[in-house]
Amino acid sequence: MALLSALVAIAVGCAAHGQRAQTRGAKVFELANYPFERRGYEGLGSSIREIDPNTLAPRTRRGLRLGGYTERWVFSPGRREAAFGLDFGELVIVDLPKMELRARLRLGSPDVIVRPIGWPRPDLLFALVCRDAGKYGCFDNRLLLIDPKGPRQYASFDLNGGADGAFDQRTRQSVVFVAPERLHPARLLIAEQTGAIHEVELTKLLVGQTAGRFPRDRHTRTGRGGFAAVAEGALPPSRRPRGQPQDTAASASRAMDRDDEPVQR
Amino acid sequence: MNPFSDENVDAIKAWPGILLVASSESELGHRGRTVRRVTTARFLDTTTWTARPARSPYGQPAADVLLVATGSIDERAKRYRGPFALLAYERSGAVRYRLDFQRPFTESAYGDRLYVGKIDGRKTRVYDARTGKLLRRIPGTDVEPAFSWSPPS
Repeated sequence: MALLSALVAIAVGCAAHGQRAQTRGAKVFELANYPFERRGYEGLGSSIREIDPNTLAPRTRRGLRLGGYTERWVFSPGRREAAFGLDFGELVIVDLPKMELRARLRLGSPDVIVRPIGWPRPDLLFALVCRDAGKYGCFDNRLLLIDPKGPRQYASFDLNGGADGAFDQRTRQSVVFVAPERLHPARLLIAEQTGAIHEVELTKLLVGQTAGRFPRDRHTRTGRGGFAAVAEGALPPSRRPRGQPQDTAASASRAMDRDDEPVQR
Repeated sequence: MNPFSDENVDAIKAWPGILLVASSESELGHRGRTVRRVTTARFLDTTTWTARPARSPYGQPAADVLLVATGSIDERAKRYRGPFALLAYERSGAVRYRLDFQRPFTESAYGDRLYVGKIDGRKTRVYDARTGKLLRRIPGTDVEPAFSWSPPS
């Protein structure tokens, strides 16, 4: 059941990101994008700025420019700092009371996307990186262990598949869901705040790409993971939702297993 | 299903312990048109792992309600089809309030604030998401809250 909860957390983690209930005295920030065109570059940059949630009016004239485009951030254990992952292969750390950049850590080439997952300890941050290939996806996914104090990179692990993750504030664990590129069981990585990483293979959740039905067309189908584990095999039949014929993604995986052949490369 | 078909399952945290789970299929239809259909939409209670049907596959959680917009797109006539309204559902399934609009609209929510704007996404009104009360009209803006932060004590 804990495994299922972790999967659900991943499935909804991104949707709920940034939507936490406002607490009294909390400052609300916007995350704005600005084009790099004026400086002669392509792409978008991001900036943060405090706003009034009742009027959406900015409370400061200028925002704090972070660098590249960002959509994922985590807070430090004391919530004094926030780490933003940028699309330029960088991780920036912002001192929120001072509203200034404290550090900028280069983790890869400019086509690398950085997504921090969890910051369980002052000297340990988990982040995912992958190489952006536009509409084809994001490849070479890796899990990084970073020391935000340095800042420096401790270690890097090849995940061998697409990945997404979420952080559990209560247990201070980072959970990473890995979907292999070829049809294979999905994997779950549970990263402890000690730095230890446990790996679980979800044997009943097949995800990945298979070849199209007709060998001459090179189109592929993808069975995505995410929520699929809830019904297929994980719950005993007596506890499955009544009237729900089959879990959709899981049944899609079964269909692919039956109809299609694995991708030959 | 054909080689261009796709199937997605989306989950939205509607209330604590309850997810709105919707799956949809899309495939390449006649003359290159993409045919998309929602196959299931259910509320899944993760404390008991039981499900019940949901009226809409889409929703926006705000405060303690789930906001569901009505209206659709008439693809043949290439226009929006009303009524244009926003219904706020309680956890029990009851409608707490309903906001009606003359035209198509966009909405977003953050905490207990509901922002409604024009079809271009620019927000023009701020509501209390708990009650549906209009708090103020604002000049059209693209600004939206992304995160909140409390100074450490």
